[in-house]
Amino acid sequence: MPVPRSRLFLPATLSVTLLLTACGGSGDEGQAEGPVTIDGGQPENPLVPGNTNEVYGGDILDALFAKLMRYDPDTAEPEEHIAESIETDDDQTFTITIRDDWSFHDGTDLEARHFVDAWNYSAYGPNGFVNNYWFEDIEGYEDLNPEDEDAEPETDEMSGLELIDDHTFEVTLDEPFADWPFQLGYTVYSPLPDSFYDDPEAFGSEPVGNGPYEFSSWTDNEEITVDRWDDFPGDEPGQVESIQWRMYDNQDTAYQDLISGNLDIMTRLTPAALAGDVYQDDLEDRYIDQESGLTYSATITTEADGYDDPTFRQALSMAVDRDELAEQIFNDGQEAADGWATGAAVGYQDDACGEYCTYDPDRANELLDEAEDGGFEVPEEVDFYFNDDAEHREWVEAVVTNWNQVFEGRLEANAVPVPTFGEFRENINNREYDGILRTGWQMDYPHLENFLSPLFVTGAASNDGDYSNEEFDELVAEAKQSSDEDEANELYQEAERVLAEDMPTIPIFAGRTISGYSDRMDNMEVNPFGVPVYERLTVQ
Amino acid sequence: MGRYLLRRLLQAVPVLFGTTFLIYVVVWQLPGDPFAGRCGDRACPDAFVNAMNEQFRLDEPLLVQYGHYIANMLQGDLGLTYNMVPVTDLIAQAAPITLRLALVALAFEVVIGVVAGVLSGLRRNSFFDNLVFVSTLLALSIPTFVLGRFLQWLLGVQWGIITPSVSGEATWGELIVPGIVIATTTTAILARLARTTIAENLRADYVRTAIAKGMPPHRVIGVHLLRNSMIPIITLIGLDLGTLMVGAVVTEGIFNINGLGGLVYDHVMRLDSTVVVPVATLFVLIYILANLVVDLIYGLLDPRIRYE
Amino acid sequence: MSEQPAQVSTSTRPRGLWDDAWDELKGRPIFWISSVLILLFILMAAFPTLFTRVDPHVADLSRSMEEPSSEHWFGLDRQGRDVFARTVHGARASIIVGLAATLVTTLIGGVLGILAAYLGGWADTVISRLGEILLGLPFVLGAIIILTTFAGAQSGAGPVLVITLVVGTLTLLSWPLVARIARSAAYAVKHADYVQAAKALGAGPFRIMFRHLLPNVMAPVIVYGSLMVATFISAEATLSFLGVGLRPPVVSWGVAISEAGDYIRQAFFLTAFPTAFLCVTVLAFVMLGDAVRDALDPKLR
Repeated sequence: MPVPRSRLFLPATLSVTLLLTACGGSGDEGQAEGPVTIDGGQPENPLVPGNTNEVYGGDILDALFAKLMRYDPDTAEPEEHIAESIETDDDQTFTITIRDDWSFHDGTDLEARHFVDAWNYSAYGPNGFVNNYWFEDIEGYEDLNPEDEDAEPETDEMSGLELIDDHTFEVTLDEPFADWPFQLGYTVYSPLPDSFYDDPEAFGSEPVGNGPYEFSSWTDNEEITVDRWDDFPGDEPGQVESIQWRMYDNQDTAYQDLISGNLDIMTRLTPAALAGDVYQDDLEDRYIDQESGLTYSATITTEADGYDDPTFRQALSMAVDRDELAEQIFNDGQEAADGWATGAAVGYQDDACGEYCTYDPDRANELLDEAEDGGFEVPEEVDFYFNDDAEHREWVEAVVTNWNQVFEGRLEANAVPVPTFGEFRENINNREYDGILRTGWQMDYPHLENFLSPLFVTGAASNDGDYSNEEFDELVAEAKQSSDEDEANELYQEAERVLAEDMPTIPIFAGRTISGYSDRMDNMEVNPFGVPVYERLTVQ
Repeated sequence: MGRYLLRRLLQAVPVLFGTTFLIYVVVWQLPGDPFAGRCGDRACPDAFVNAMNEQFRLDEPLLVQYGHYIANMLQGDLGLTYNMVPVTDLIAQAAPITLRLALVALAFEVVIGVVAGVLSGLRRNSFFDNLVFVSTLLALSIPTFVLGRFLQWLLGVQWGIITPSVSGEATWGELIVPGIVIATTTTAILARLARTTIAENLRADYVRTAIAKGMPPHRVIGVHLLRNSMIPIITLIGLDLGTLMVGAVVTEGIFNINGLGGLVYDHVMRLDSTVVVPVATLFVLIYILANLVVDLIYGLLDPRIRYE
Repeated sequence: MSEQPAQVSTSTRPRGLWDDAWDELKGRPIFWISSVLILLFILMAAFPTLFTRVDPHVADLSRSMEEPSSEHWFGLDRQGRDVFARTVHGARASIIVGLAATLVTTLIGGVLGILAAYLGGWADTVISRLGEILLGLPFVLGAIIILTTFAGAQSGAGPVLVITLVVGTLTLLSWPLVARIARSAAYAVKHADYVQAAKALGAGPFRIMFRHLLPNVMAPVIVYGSLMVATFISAEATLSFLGVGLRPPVVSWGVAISEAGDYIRQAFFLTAFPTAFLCVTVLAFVMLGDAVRDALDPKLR
């Protein structure tokens, strides 16, 4: 591994939790041997749902907090959880009624105001929460986040949130968005108990949640432990008595621990373990290989000279031998992408990218000819920038090799390492790169929409390549407002096919998660976010 | 002697301040916004970045920041890391582990290195001497990370003698193999130095005189030879103490040991300067003190040395 | 260090030091073995194409991690590149880093050491204290901080810049050691009669420093320098392993070992070959350094 202490730079997320299905485990567990251990790392921020968006903190919050909605661990379909009902007549105002038998770990009853207050607090600009932007669809968000950064907001409550009674509240959006409740299973929308506001800092190191597990201990850089909450009101309470995340600096070390029985679950096996399928020898059948909501892509700065021609971008895409890369670099731990979303998402369509994501060197050269015939000048050097502090060097270099071989003599591609992710990200934010950027997307909630609007709508927060296409924007807007689910999905799918014509981002891989576990585990499942289904874990 | 000590300690003060300033300036220059890379593969909200920059005073001029920093540090407050963990806690947690690791390595160095060196110096050109010579050549030629990875794989995975990673408690037993890995290079250097020094002193007049006047060999070696050969050896050990404390960066990473070296490495890679300045200063302090102690030991070993 | 308790220096050298050293060296097989090895590696670094005609950058992904064969002696790496070609071409970066860093370090350290000894006073204090800070900072840690700081310059940097940064970092952290050695060697002769005599005869400071102090400083510095090459080559590999040293497009042993480290179990040869080359090179320089030291250090003869 190039960086012994690499961090997985996945945009956290991973909401998840709970399901209703009756297939819970055996229920009896021999707990004599201490907690189930899972690999993890020091969370980057205090454990507050509105301020955590990386995997290490996110994984833990998943076990600690229950949300209004939950995503079925098998199908990713959302369903009511704390919410009893979510009703709307106009797709703009939603009336949310919550169960009246839920409480926090500290025993205080869970009421509607706990949601409203938590959301207002997270959205309030001066609090500087990383997940602040999640609330921007709600009416009154702008008042909490004035354009002028130094200005003090006049209010700390969004006008779109209104308490009806103890267990009912109403949410009004800026404009109709039929699928809005879909995202309510995301961690950001967790409720916070009153004790949070007394001392947010203390709360962050000792969070009080409402999920199947309650916080037990946290030793920095070593471990975080949670214990089963015996009064969990949900349908599927936790089974193993406690779960402990062990923090590893080096993922390979975690793998060594897994195979020598010192670690029970490793959520994402390292490339070293995947290569040559050694994990199958080491773990026999104790691994789970499944689709996840992660994509690997090459984003093109569509505004820059030399990259502003869609035909050229398609040519680049067709010169990437995705199947070969997936097999050789990831040992089929990732799949060749055939579109911009992954199969884990609701609304996913097969082959959205069509022929443009297939490998065809001849066609790629023809496309390049076409582009040149249209007066386009091929850049002499095509730079592919990537952050070199995580496991990206190998696949980026392989893509570059593909380009150099297919377009031999016509262009020279380079893999350009940027030492740290912080620097890479800052340079992207400041638009300092012209060329191709290593990008990835971990879905926040399992819907096709989440792979499109944050990334490709004009001016969207994560539109790093400055892509802009009116047709695409209109299709997404129309889909958002459509109250018919099928119709909406069709519109999203149409929008996705527009991307194939413009190729603002070259999809490379659709992620899979391969998790391993020790022979102490009896049952182990992984949800569509690639996170273990905590409440279904059982030990032998 | 007392004045000498006092003067040396006083001279350490500017060096320590120089260190904090130098490192502060350098780390402050770390490229990249430490908070821009904390939102996964997406841009962080401005509100977040601004709030964090304000909290950590990154928006103020360098000298103002440094002033605040030193003022707080003198009051024993090292602040929080960008992950909101108190820096003092992290150091307090990591320092004992690093110390244990350094002691294991030191013990190995002294026992193996000095003994092998002395023995081969006494029996130059014997089989043992040649064995030591070849071993030290090899030890000097294999980079630490190669050795670490190899032993971890061989002993931890293939043979299952050790656990491949060290637990949070980092017990003495767990630290033996990492300690040996860290100590290897210095052990080799020490062995060679000891050999040379002993061989050199064997031919010194006072040894010849001692032998000539009929002193038994073990007294010659024990009283005269070893005592006089200790000065360069102790110098080397003293100078190397700093290396031991953090030469561990590589080894700590490989064996997942939560020591100071790894702590600093982790935070530099995350562009988090909060831990780097105090730990680096601590290392320089240890280095200065180690040098001082070495100089004082000189006096014990060689009465001719006087402290002015 | 100026406050080191006064130690009696015994370096009154016999005349013809260099001739004696050469005679001594000539008779040592270890000197010849290491010299031949080093020449071989230098040749490899200067003219890699003498050893292989295969382009180290050409990749055939479909043959990723193929085992050594008659066609590819050392097998193919993860990207399907020829490991033999990459190992041969990797010699350049390692050797350049080792030699250049040593050269610059001995020059800077030597000059500053002589200056400190000759000028004394505040110049001595500044140089010694600065050296103390840099030496107190553990090597790897210091290198990580410096390389990360200047890593920005590495984004998209060509091989020359990348190597220069690593050389600069190694030098910055190592010159105080040389300066300290040079200082004490120069200090020992500063008050010698012939230097005082030269002064009395009106010799300028430069003349004194270069004609009288320098020759006395040469031997200990060279002894140290010859061992330093090995240390630097090893250090480069370590830094590359940590991900802060050399980076692609530079082909180097350190980078290769670091990249192959994940796959020890699947493809041991990927690690084994560059590691073997690295270790043999370091070994050769250590042996040479050893021989030179034995020859130059009269106390050992």
